[in-house]
Order: sequence, then structure tokens, then C-alpha cells
Amino acid sequence: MSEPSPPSDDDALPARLAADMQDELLAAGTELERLERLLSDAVDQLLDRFGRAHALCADLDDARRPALVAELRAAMTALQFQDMASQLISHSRRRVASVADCLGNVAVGGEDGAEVQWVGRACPVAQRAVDAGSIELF
Amino acid sequence: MAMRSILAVDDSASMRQMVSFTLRSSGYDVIEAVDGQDALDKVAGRQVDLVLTDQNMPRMDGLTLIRQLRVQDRFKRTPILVLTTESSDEMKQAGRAAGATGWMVKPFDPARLLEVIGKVLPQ
Repeated sequence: MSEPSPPSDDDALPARLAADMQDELLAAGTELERLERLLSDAVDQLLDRFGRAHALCADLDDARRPALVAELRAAMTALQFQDMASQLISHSRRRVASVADCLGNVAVGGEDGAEVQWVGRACPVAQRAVDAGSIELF
Repeated sequence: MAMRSILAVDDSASMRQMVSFTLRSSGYDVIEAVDGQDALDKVAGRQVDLVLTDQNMPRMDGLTLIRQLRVQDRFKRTPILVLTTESSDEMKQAGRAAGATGWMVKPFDPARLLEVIGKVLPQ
């Protein structure tokens, strides 16, 4: 396999293209922010209804109440998706903003992304489902 | 018997709501805090029976909060559980070294959370 050749002027990203790419990424960042707000609003409403449903359980007889309370508690595990989704979206927004900053530098004639604050670290949210997580007592 | 008090620390409003709902509906008194610094302010001059904290939070994270609590005499033996999305062994070990009693990965199952709290709370 051959060594990569050093960058030349021919490899440079055209400033106009860099500016357009930056615009696209900034728009994507704004859309991610809207998605985050939509999720937050939806979960606020779900939790409000959830609380009311739980309060109604008090009116049920002893035979029926435990089953409904158990169902509501099980639903609470799934409702926590918003916390994880919000962290993932925030992390993605920071990454998008970093690349947009880098392209912004290129668009105004900067040479590289030396001054860009890259996110680097992987998002701590590794979950792929909303099953209950592990528990470890020390 | 006096109502047991639990300090619940999380920067996510929905998580605080769900944790508080679970604990209050099981008879616990819950004090909510939005991050580690807020938690320290809320327990200044008072004791709680258990601390349940998130890890990644603005201003002060969970591990820093644990270290700050453990240097205070009245929190030396208080159970402190971490409830977080962080699931790496490195973070768990850091939590243990900081003085955490246990590590729970989100999302939590309300019944299991109550079971663990019942297990670590002094009788």
C-alpha cells in the first residue's frame, strides 16, 4: 500500500464549497435542536398523563390496583428514552458544530481546523434499547 | 417510623420526575437537585438517608459530588447510588474509588430501583 501523498493546493477544499457545507451543517444542528425540544415536550406531556393515570389507581379496588401499578411502572422504564435520546442528540449537535466551525475556517481562508474544539470522546450513551440497565453493588 | 429521605440528583427534569414519582409513591421523602453543586447546597446542614445521583451533569458531576460528600462526617456511611447512562468498567471503578455504594445503568426499572434502595438503606 502506498504512502498518502502530502496535501497540495489542488487538494484544498474550495472556500465556496466549504461555506455551503458549513451552512448545511448549521441547519442540521438547528434541526437537531428542534428534535430535542419536541422530544422533551412530548415526554413532559406523557409524564403528566402518567401521573394522572397513577393517581386514578387509588380509586381501584385492591384486586385490580397492583396489576395496573405494575404496568405503569413498567412503562416508566420505556419513558426514560428521552434522557438517553437527549444526550445522544446533544453529543451529535456538538460534533456537527465542530465540523461546521472547521469548514467556517476553511471558508474564510484558514488552513486547517487547528482552533476547532473537537468533541473526541464517544457519547456515554451506549444503549441500543430501553431495557432496564445493569446494577452493581460494591 | 419517620419517613426516609432521599436526595435525587439529575440534570434531566424528566428523570428527576420519574425517580421522584417512583420514590414518593413508595413512601420516601425526596429532595431534588439539578446537579452536584445544587445537591451540596440542598444538604448543607442536614442529613439524608440515601443519595441517588447521575454522573454527567453541568457545574459538578456525580463523582465529584460523592467525593465532596464523603469528606463530611455525616455522609461517611450514607449509601450513595449512581444512576447513569455510563456503563464502562472504567467509570464504575472510578465510582467505586470515589465512594459510591453501587452503580446502576439507565434506564432504571422502578421495582428494581426500590429493591436496591431497600437493600442498601440502613435498617
